[in-house]
Amino acid sequence: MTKKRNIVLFFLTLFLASIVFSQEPEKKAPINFTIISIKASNSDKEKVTKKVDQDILNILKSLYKFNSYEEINRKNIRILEGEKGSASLPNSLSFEIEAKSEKNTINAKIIIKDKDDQELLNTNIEMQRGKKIILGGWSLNGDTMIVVIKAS
Amino acid sequence: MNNKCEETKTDLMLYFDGELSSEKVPDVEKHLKECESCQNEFKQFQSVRNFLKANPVPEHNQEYWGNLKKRIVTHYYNAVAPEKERKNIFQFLFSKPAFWVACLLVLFLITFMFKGKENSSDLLVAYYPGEKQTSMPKLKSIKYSEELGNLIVMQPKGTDTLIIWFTKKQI
Repeated sequence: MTKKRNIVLFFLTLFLASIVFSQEPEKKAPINFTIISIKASNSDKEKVTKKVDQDILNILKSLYKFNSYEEINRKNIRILEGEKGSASLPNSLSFEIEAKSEKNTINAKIIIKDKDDQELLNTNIEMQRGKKIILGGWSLNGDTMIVVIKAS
Repeated sequence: MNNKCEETKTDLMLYFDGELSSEKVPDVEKHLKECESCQNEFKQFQSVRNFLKANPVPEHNQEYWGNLKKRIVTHYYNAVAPEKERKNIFQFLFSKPAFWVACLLVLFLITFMFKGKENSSDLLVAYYPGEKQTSMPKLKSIKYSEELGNLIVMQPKGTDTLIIWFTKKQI
């Protein structure tokens, strides 16, 4: 009985220790953002898709009824916590991001500016690593522009 | 049975084994001749000794004696214990601390598995005609130019994707 009890206590200790150590503060890791610009259009008669990732396409198709989706720009930004990163977007727009990481969530400050450096959008968003945010709806030379932001 | 019998009984076994002091032997022998009850008891001693002589205890090794208790318990549960006592597995489990420890561990695991999933299915839809602070959990604040048009924020049910959608306007 004593031997069995010791085995049970050993595994219980092991389990509790793993919980304690798993709750240690995580080390600050670089945050990677992928900024994907997509042109959505109804000008094509048939449904056309060019280079758009399937998971993004599934979301877009479930929400909108555009005839075509085309990836026109893709930028990767790698920043450390508290640092700023930037990328250029189509139509002379610029994209800036600043982020703080908390466990699996990322608090991101996103700014989109026009060619005259005027802020069009300034937002603070809580993102999850591996999840997406879709920005868009504004016109791009007669079509619709969509920006997908992925954090990892 | 009188007081003499009581006194004699304590000495009777010693007398039987030949270990009684010589001073007491005459008293015991005298009482045995007079008392039928003690005679019967003495005869029982003799019959037990005769039986043991005829049926000597078999010699076993140390392992045999070491496992004796275990075999008795097994025998009890297999043959002697009432049927319901053997079959009531829940009663048996509930009495074991290891069972409760296992239940506790499973509870911990379930708690950790579902931790952080409480917001996974919320449907958030908001419409902002201008600059506004937000109370939506994922959208901390938003400020935007009128040039982008009006704003709709939503999180489709069953997805983790936040969508910030502007009404169409040329920029």
